[in-house]
Amino acid sequence: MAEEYRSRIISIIIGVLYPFILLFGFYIILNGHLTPGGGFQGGAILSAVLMSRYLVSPNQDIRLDSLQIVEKMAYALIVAVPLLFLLMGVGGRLDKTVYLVLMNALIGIKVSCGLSIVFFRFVFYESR
Amino acid sequence: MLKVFLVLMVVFAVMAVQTPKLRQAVVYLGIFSLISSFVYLLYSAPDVAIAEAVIGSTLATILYLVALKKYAVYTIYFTDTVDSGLEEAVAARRARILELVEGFCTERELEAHVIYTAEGKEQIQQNHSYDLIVMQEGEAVTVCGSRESYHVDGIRSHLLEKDKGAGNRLRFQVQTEEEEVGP
Amino acid sequence: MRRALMVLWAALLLVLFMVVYGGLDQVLPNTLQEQYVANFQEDTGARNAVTGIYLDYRVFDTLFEALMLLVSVIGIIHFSVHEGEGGDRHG
Repeated sequence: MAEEYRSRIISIIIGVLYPFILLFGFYIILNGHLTPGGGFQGGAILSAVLMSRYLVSPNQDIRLDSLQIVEKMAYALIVAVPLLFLLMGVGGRLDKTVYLVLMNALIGIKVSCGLSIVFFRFVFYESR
Repeated sequence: MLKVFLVLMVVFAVMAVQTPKLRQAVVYLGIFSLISSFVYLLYSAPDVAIAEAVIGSTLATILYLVALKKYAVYTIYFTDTVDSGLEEAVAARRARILELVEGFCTERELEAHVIYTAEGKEQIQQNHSYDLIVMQEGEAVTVCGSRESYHVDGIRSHLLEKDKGAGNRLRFQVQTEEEEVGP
Repeated sequence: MRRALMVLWAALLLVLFMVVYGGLDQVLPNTLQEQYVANFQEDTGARNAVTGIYLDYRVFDTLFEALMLLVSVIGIIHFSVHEGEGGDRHG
Protein backbone atom coordinates (compact mmCIF):
# COMPACT_ATOMS: atom_id res chain seq x y z
CA MET A 1 0.00 0.00 0.00
CA ALA A 2 1.50 3.29 -1.03
CA GLU A 3 1.87 6.12 1.41
CA GLU A 4 -0.63 8.50 -0.15
CA TYR A 5 -3.47 5.96 -0.10
CA ARG A 6 -3.42 5.76 3.69
CA SER A 7 -6.16 7.74 5.36
CA ARG A 8 -5.21 10.18 8.08
CA ILE A 9 -8.72 10.23 9.52
CA ILE A 10 -8.74 6.48 10.04
CA SER A 11 -5.35 6.47 11.70
CA ILE A 12 -6.30 9.23 14.15
CA ILE A 13 -9.69 7.71 15.01
CA ILE A 14 -8.23 4.26 15.53
CA GLY A 15 -5.43 5.69 17.62
CA VAL A 16 -8.04 7.26 19.90
CA LEU A 17 -10.24 4.17 20.03
CA TYR A 18 -7.42 1.63 20.44
CA PRO A 19 -7.22 1.52 24.28
CA PHE A 20 -10.99 1.58 24.63
CA ILE A 21 -11.46 -1.42 22.35
CA LEU A 22 -8.73 -3.23 24.26
CA LEU A 23 -10.37 -2.41 27.58
CA PHE A 24 -13.77 -3.47 26.29
CA GLY A 25 -12.38 -6.80 25.15
CA PHE A 26 -10.79 -7.54 28.52
CA TYR A 27 -13.96 -6.43 30.29
CA ILE A 28 -16.09 -8.78 28.24
CA ILE A 29 -13.73 -11.69 28.84
CA LEU A 30 -13.27 -11.20 32.58
CA ASN A 31 -16.93 -10.44 33.33
CA GLY A 32 -18.21 -13.30 31.19
CA HIS A 33 -19.75 -15.10 34.13
CA LEU A 34 -21.65 -12.04 35.36
CA THR A 35 -22.72 -10.11 32.28
CA PRO A 36 -23.41 -11.15 28.70
CA GLY A 37 -20.30 -12.01 26.81
CA GLY A 38 -17.55 -14.50 27.40
CA GLY A 39 -14.35 -15.86 26.02
CA PHE A 40 -15.34 -16.12 22.40
CA GLN A 41 -16.82 -12.65 22.05
CA GLY A 42 -14.02 -10.96 23.98
CA GLY A 43 -11.40 -12.84 21.98
CA ALA A 44 -12.99 -11.70 18.76
CA ILE A 45 -12.91 -8.09 20.00
CA LEU A 46 -9.22 -8.45 20.92
CA SER A 47 -8.41 -9.75 17.46
CA ALA A 48 -10.38 -6.83 16.00
CA VAL A 49 -7.84 -4.61 17.78
CA LEU A 50 -5.02 -6.23 15.82
CA MET A 51 -6.97 -5.92 12.59
CA SER A 52 -7.62 -2.22 13.08
CA ARG A 53 -3.91 -1.89 13.74
CA TYR A 54 -3.35 -3.45 10.32
CA LEU A 55 -5.57 -0.77 8.79
CA VAL A 56 -3.33 1.93 10.23
CA SER A 57 0.08 0.40 9.57
CA PRO A 58 0.16 -2.59 7.25
CA ASN A 59 3.59 -3.80 8.31
CA GLN A 60 4.45 -7.39 8.81
CA ASP A 61 5.90 -7.10 12.27
CA ILE A 62 3.67 -9.52 14.15
CA ARG A 63 5.24 -12.81 15.09
CA LEU A 64 2.70 -15.31 13.86
CA ASP A 65 4.64 -18.37 14.96
CA SER A 66 4.69 -17.26 18.60
CA LEU A 67 0.96 -16.50 18.36
CA GLN A 68 0.52 -20.04 17.13
CA ILE A 69 2.49 -21.46 20.05
CA VAL A 70 0.40 -19.40 22.47
CA GLU A 71 -2.77 -20.70 20.86
CA LYS A 72 -1.71 -24.33 21.16
CA MET A 73 -0.67 -23.87 24.79
CA ALA A 74 -4.02 -22.23 25.49
CA TYR A 75 -5.83 -25.16 23.95
CA ALA A 76 -3.83 -27.62 26.04
CA LEU A 77 -4.75 -25.63 29.14
CA ILE A 78 -8.41 -25.50 28.07
CA VAL A 79 -8.40 -29.29 27.97
CA ALA A 80 -6.40 -29.59 31.20
CA VAL A 81 -8.25 -27.14 33.45
CA PRO A 82 -11.70 -28.84 33.48
CA LEU A 83 -10.00 -32.21 34.02
CA LEU A 84 -8.03 -30.77 36.91
CA PHE A 85 -11.08 -29.21 38.53
CA LEU A 86 -13.02 -32.43 37.98
CA LEU A 87 -10.33 -34.60 39.57
CA MET A 88 -9.82 -32.24 42.50
CA GLY A 89 -13.54 -32.16 43.09
CA VAL A 90 -14.61 -28.55 43.36
CA GLY A 91 -17.31 -27.73 45.81
CA GLY A 92 -17.28 -24.14 46.99
CA ARG A 93 -18.74 -21.17 45.22
CA LEU A 94 -15.36 -19.44 45.03
CA ASP A 95 -13.85 -22.41 43.23
CA LYS A 96 -16.58 -22.33 40.64
CA THR A 97 -16.04 -18.62 40.03
CA VAL A 98 -12.30 -19.16 39.69
CA TYR A 99 -12.96 -21.95 37.23
CA LEU A 100 -15.30 -19.84 35.12
CA VAL A 101 -12.99 -16.83 35.00
CA LEU A 102 -9.98 -18.99 34.19
CA MET A 103 -11.74 -20.83 31.39
CA ASN A 104 -13.12 -17.59 29.94
CA ALA A 105 -9.67 -16.05 29.95
CA LEU A 106 -8.11 -19.09 28.28
CA ILE A 107 -10.80 -19.26 25.62
CA GLY A 108 -10.40 -15.53 25.03
CA ILE A 109 -6.65 -15.86 24.52
CA LYS A 110 -7.11 -18.82 22.23
CA VAL A 111 -9.80 -17.24 20.09
CA SER A 112 -7.98 -13.93 19.73
CA CYS A 113 -4.76 -15.71 18.71
CA GLY A 114 -6.64 -17.95 16.28
CA LEU A 115 -8.57 -15.19 14.54
CA SER A 116 -5.47 -13.00 14.34
CA ILE A 117 -3.51 -15.83 12.74
CA VAL A 118 -6.30 -16.42 10.24
CA PHE A 119 -6.45 -12.74 9.34
CA PHE A 120 -2.72 -12.10 9.05
CA ARG A 121 -2.11 -15.34 7.16
CA PHE A 122 -4.75 -14.26 4.72
CA VAL A 123 -3.42 -10.74 4.41
CA PHE A 124 0.30 -11.38 4.16
CA TYR A 125 0.75 -14.84 2.73
CA GLU A 126 -2.21 -15.42 0.47
CA SER A 127 -0.91 -14.24 -2.84
CA ARG A 128 -2.97 -13.71 -5.90
CA MET B 1 -39.85 -1.72 16.48
CA LEU B 2 -38.75 -5.27 15.82
CA LYS B 3 -40.64 -5.49 12.57
CA VAL B 4 -39.09 -2.28 11.29
CA PHE B 5 -35.63 -3.74 11.78
CA LEU B 6 -36.60 -7.06 10.23
CA VAL B 7 -37.86 -5.24 7.15
CA LEU B 8 -34.66 -3.18 7.10
CA MET B 9 -32.66 -6.42 7.17
CA VAL B 10 -34.50 -7.70 4.13
CA VAL B 11 -33.99 -4.38 2.36
CA PHE B 12 -30.25 -4.36 3.01
CA ALA B 13 -29.89 -8.00 2.01
CA VAL B 14 -31.58 -7.30 -1.31
CA MET B 15 -29.43 -4.20 -1.79
CA ALA B 16 -26.28 -6.19 -1.08
CA VAL B 17 -27.23 -8.71 -3.73
CA GLN B 18 -28.39 -6.19 -6.31
CA THR B 19 -25.59 -3.62 -6.12
CA PRO B 20 -23.31 -3.74 -9.16
CA LYS B 21 -20.21 -2.60 -7.26
CA LEU B 22 -18.75 -5.20 -4.92
CA ARG B 23 -17.36 -2.75 -2.40
CA GLN B 24 -20.78 -1.19 -1.84
CA ALA B 25 -22.21 -4.68 -1.47
CA VAL B 26 -19.71 -5.36 1.32
CA VAL B 27 -20.75 -2.18 3.10
CA TYR B 28 -24.42 -3.14 2.81
CA LEU B 29 -23.55 -6.55 4.22
CA GLY B 30 -21.88 -4.88 7.20
CA ILE B 31 -24.96 -2.76 7.84
CA PHE B 32 -27.08 -5.90 7.52
CA SER B 33 -24.96 -7.58 10.19
CA LEU B 34 -25.26 -4.59 12.48
CA ILE B 35 -29.06 -4.56 12.18
CA SER B 36 -29.22 -8.30 12.73
CA SER B 37 -27.15 -7.97 15.88
CA PHE B 38 -29.61 -5.36 17.10
CA VAL B 39 -32.45 -7.74 16.32
CA TYR B 40 -30.72 -10.39 18.42
CA LEU B 41 -30.60 -7.84 21.21
CA LEU B 42 -34.34 -7.26 20.85
CA TYR B 43 -34.87 -10.99 21.10
CA SER B 44 -32.96 -10.72 24.42
CA ALA B 45 -29.89 -12.66 23.36
CA PRO B 46 -27.08 -10.20 24.17
CA ASP B 47 -24.31 -12.81 23.89
CA VAL B 48 -25.19 -13.62 20.31
CA ALA B 49 -25.62 -9.92 19.60
CA ILE B 50 -22.06 -9.15 20.73
CA ALA B 51 -20.63 -12.03 18.70
CA GLU B 52 -22.60 -11.02 15.62
CA ALA B 53 -21.64 -7.36 15.92
CA VAL B 54 -17.94 -8.13 16.27
CA ILE B 55 -17.65 -10.91 13.72
CA GLY B 56 -20.25 -9.90 11.18
CA SER B 57 -19.67 -6.17 11.14
CA THR B 58 -15.96 -5.95 11.80
CA LEU B 59 -14.01 -9.05 10.96
CA ALA B 60 -16.02 -10.18 7.95
CA THR B 61 -16.19 -6.69 6.48
CA ILE B 62 -12.45 -6.08 6.80
CA LEU B 63 -11.71 -9.54 5.42
CA TYR B 64 -13.97 -8.98 2.42
CA LEU B 65 -12.43 -5.59 1.74
CA VAL B 66 -8.90 -7.01 1.89
CA ALA B 67 -9.97 -9.82 -0.43
CA LEU B 68 -11.39 -7.32 -2.90
CA LYS B 69 -8.18 -5.34 -2.77
CA LYS B 70 -6.14 -8.45 -3.42
CA TYR B 71 -8.34 -9.69 -6.22
CA ALA B 72 -8.06 -6.69 -8.48
CA VAL B 73 -8.11 -8.02 -12.03
CA TYR B 74 -8.72 -5.55 -14.82
CA THR B 75 -10.33 -7.32 -17.74
CA ILE B 76 -9.68 -5.81 -21.14
CA TYR B 77 -11.31 -7.06 -24.33
CA PHE B 78 -9.45 -6.18 -27.48
CA THR B 79 -11.17 -6.36 -30.85
CA ASP B 80 -9.89 -5.21 -34.16
CA THR B 81 -11.84 -5.20 -37.36
CA VAL B 82 -8.94 -4.69 -39.74
CA ASP B 83 -8.21 -7.22 -42.43
CA SER B 84 -4.68 -8.24 -43.10
CA GLY B 85 -2.60 -5.99 -45.30
CA LEU B 86 -0.89 -3.36 -43.23
CA GLU B 87 -0.17 -5.76 -40.41
CA GLU B 88 2.92 -4.14 -39.05
CA ALA B 89 1.21 -0.82 -38.57
CA VAL B 90 -1.70 -2.56 -36.89
CA ALA B 91 0.60 -4.44 -34.57
CA ALA B 92 2.46 -1.28 -33.65
CA ARG B 93 -0.77 0.56 -32.92
CA ARG B 94 -2.08 -2.32 -30.84
CA ALA B 95 1.15 -2.43 -28.88
CA ARG B 96 0.97 1.29 -28.24
CA ILE B 97 -2.61 1.37 -26.99
CA LEU B 98 -2.06 -1.69 -24.83
CA GLU B 99 1.07 -0.16 -23.41
CA LEU B 100 -0.95 2.86 -22.35
CA VAL B 101 -3.58 0.72 -20.65
CA GLU B 102 -1.05 -1.52 -18.93
CA GLY B 103 0.86 1.48 -17.65
CA PHE B 104 -2.37 2.59 -16.04
CA CYS B 105 -2.81 -0.86 -14.50
CA THR B 106 0.65 -0.94 -12.94
CA GLU B 107 0.06 2.54 -11.58
CA ARG B 108 -3.11 1.42 -9.81
CA GLU B 109 -1.70 -1.99 -8.77
CA LEU B 110 -4.14 -3.87 -10.97
CA GLU B 111 -3.47 -7.01 -12.92
CA ALA B 112 -4.22 -6.49 -16.58
CA HIS B 113 -5.95 -9.40 -18.22
CA VAL B 114 -6.12 -8.87 -21.96
CA ILE B 115 -8.45 -11.01 -24.08
CA TYR B 116 -8.28 -10.83 -27.84
CA THR B 117 -11.61 -11.55 -29.41
CA ALA B 118 -13.42 -11.29 -32.72
CA GLU B 119 -16.76 -10.44 -31.14
CA GLY B 120 -18.37 -7.09 -31.52
CA LYS B 121 -18.96 -4.57 -28.77
CA GLU B 122 -22.60 -5.45 -28.21
CA GLN B 123 -21.82 -9.14 -27.98
CA ILE B 124 -19.12 -8.52 -25.39
CA GLN B 125 -21.40 -6.26 -23.39
CA GLN B 126 -24.10 -8.88 -23.36
CA ASN B 127 -22.07 -12.00 -22.80
CA HIS B 128 -19.05 -11.09 -20.70
CA SER B 129 -18.16 -9.06 -17.68
CA TYR B 130 -15.51 -6.57 -18.64
CA ASP B 131 -13.80 -3.44 -17.44
CA LEU B 132 -12.64 -2.03 -20.71
CA ILE B 133 -13.22 -2.74 -24.39
CA VAL B 134 -10.64 -1.52 -26.87
CA MET B 135 -11.86 -1.47 -30.44
CA GLN B 136 -9.54 -0.74 -33.28
CA GLU B 137 -10.91 0.12 -36.67
CA GLY B 138 -8.09 1.04 -38.97
CA GLU B 139 -6.73 4.35 -37.78
CA ALA B 140 -9.36 5.02 -35.15
CA VAL B 141 -9.32 3.47 -31.72
CA THR B 142 -12.47 3.43 -29.63
CA VAL B 143 -12.18 2.67 -25.92
CA CYS B 144 -15.31 1.75 -24.02
CA GLY B 145 -15.29 1.58 -20.25
CA SER B 146 -17.76 -0.27 -18.08
CA ARG B 147 -19.86 1.75 -15.69
CA GLU B 148 -19.40 -0.92 -13.01
CA SER B 149 -15.66 -0.48 -12.90
CA TYR B 150 -14.10 1.77 -10.29
CA HIS B 151 -11.42 3.02 -12.61
CA VAL B 152 -13.46 4.52 -15.42
CA ASP B 153 -12.65 8.14 -14.63
CA GLY B 154 -9.04 7.26 -13.84
CA ILE B 155 -8.37 5.51 -17.11
CA ARG B 156 -10.17 8.23 -19.05
CA SER B 157 -8.00 10.98 -17.67
CA HIS B 158 -4.92 8.74 -18.02
CA LEU B 159 -5.58 8.05 -21.70
CA LEU B 160 -6.46 11.68 -22.31
CA GLU B 161 -3.22 12.85 -20.78
CA LYS B 162 -0.96 10.29 -22.42
CA ASP B 163 -2.62 10.55 -25.80
CA LYS B 164 -2.44 14.31 -26.12
CA GLY B 165 0.66 14.44 -28.25
CA ALA B 166 0.35 11.12 -30.01
CA GLY B 167 -2.66 11.87 -32.15
CA ASN B 168 -4.16 8.41 -32.01
CA ARG B 169 -7.70 9.58 -32.85
CA LEU B 170 -8.90 8.07 -29.61
CA ARG B 171 -12.54 7.99 -28.62
CA PHE B 172 -13.64 7.15 -25.12
CA GLN B 173 -17.08 5.86 -24.22
CA VAL B 174 -18.70 4.91 -20.96
CA GLN B 175 -21.06 2.11 -21.88
CA THR B 176 -23.75 3.90 -23.83
CA GLU B 177 -23.05 7.59 -23.92
CA GLU B 178 -20.12 8.65 -26.04
CA GLU B 179 -17.70 11.44 -25.71
CA GLU B 180 -14.83 12.60 -27.75
CA VAL B 181 -11.33 12.50 -26.35
CA GLY B 182 -8.22 13.70 -28.05
CA PRO B 183 -7.90 15.77 -31.14
CA MET C 1 -34.80 -32.44 -11.05
CA ARG C 2 -34.86 -28.72 -10.46
CA ARG C 3 -38.63 -28.69 -10.02
CA ALA C 4 -38.46 -31.58 -7.57
CA LEU C 5 -35.84 -29.70 -5.55
CA MET C 6 -38.05 -26.62 -5.49
CA VAL C 7 -41.05 -28.63 -4.32
CA LEU C 8 -38.92 -30.22 -1.62
CA TRP C 9 -37.67 -26.82 -0.52
CA ALA C 10 -41.20 -25.41 -0.37
CA ALA C 11 -42.37 -28.40 1.68
CA LEU C 12 -39.45 -27.92 4.05
CA LEU C 13 -40.31 -24.24 4.48
CA LEU C 14 -43.94 -25.12 5.12
CA VAL C 15 -43.00 -27.66 7.80
CA LEU C 16 -40.65 -25.16 9.39
CA PHE C 17 -43.35 -22.50 9.40
CA MET C 18 -45.85 -24.87 10.96
CA VAL C 19 -43.39 -26.00 13.60
CA VAL C 20 -42.43 -22.46 14.51
CA TYR C 21 -45.90 -20.92 14.53
CA GLY C 22 -47.85 -24.00 15.47
CA GLY C 23 -46.17 -24.10 18.84
CA LEU C 24 -42.85 -25.79 19.37
CA ASP C 25 -43.82 -26.54 22.96
CA GLN C 26 -46.27 -29.23 22.00
CA VAL C 27 -43.76 -30.93 19.75
CA LEU C 28 -40.81 -31.00 22.11
CA PRO C 29 -40.98 -30.83 25.88
CA ASN C 30 -38.53 -28.30 27.29
CA THR C 31 -38.10 -29.64 30.76
CA LEU C 32 -34.31 -29.52 30.37
CA GLN C 33 -34.44 -25.78 29.66
CA GLU C 34 -36.61 -25.16 32.70
CA GLN C 35 -34.27 -27.20 34.86
CA TYR C 36 -31.21 -25.28 33.60
CA VAL C 37 -32.84 -21.91 34.12
CA ALA C 38 -34.02 -22.83 37.60
CA ASN C 39 -30.79 -24.38 38.86
CA PHE C 40 -27.85 -22.82 37.05
CA GLN C 41 -26.91 -20.38 39.80
CA GLU C 42 -26.39 -23.05 42.44
CA ASP C 43 -24.91 -25.56 40.02
CA THR C 44 -22.34 -23.44 38.22
CA GLY C 45 -21.84 -20.31 40.27
CA ALA C 46 -22.40 -18.10 37.26
CA ARG C 47 -24.92 -15.32 37.05
CA ASN C 48 -24.99 -15.42 33.27
CA ALA C 49 -26.90 -18.50 32.20
CA VAL C 50 -25.14 -18.78 28.86
CA THR C 51 -21.71 -18.95 30.48
CA GLY C 52 -23.00 -21.45 33.01
CA ILE C 53 -24.23 -23.69 30.25
CA TYR C 54 -21.26 -23.53 27.92
CA LEU C 55 -18.61 -23.80 30.60
CA ASP C 56 -20.27 -26.22 32.96
CA TYR C 57 -23.17 -28.23 31.65
CA ARG C 58 -21.85 -28.43 28.10
CA VAL C 59 -18.10 -28.11 28.57
CA PHE C 60 -17.48 -31.02 26.24
CA ASP C 61 -19.07 -29.06 23.39
CA THR C 62 -16.85 -26.12 24.21
CA LEU C 63 -13.73 -28.28 24.08
CA PHE C 64 -14.54 -29.54 20.62
CA GLU C 65 -15.55 -26.08 19.41
CA ALA C 66 -12.15 -24.77 20.44
CA LEU C 67 -10.55 -27.78 18.76
CA MET C 68 -12.47 -26.95 15.60
CA LEU C 69 -11.07 -23.42 15.59
CA LEU C 70 -7.55 -24.79 16.14
CA VAL C 71 -7.93 -27.26 13.27
CA SER C 72 -9.24 -24.54 10.94
CA VAL C 73 -6.28 -22.31 11.82
CA ILE C 74 -3.90 -25.20 11.09
CA GLY C 75 -5.66 -25.78 7.78
CA ILE C 76 -5.37 -22.12 6.81
CA ILE C 77 -1.67 -22.13 7.64
CA HIS C 78 -1.25 -25.25 5.54
CA PHE C 79 -3.13 -23.99 2.52
CA SER C 80 -2.03 -20.36 2.41
CA VAL C 81 0.66 -19.95 -0.16
CA HIS C 82 4.14 -19.26 1.11
CA GLU C 83 5.96 -16.51 -0.69
CA GLY C 84 9.25 -18.31 -0.64
CA GLU C 85 10.09 -20.66 2.17
CA GLY C 86 11.35 -17.83 4.37
CA GLY C 87 7.77 -16.88 5.12
CA ASP C 88 7.74 -18.25 8.61
CA ARG C 89 11.05 -16.82 9.66
CA HIS C 90 9.98 -13.22 9.71
CA GLY C 91 6.29 -13.98 10.03
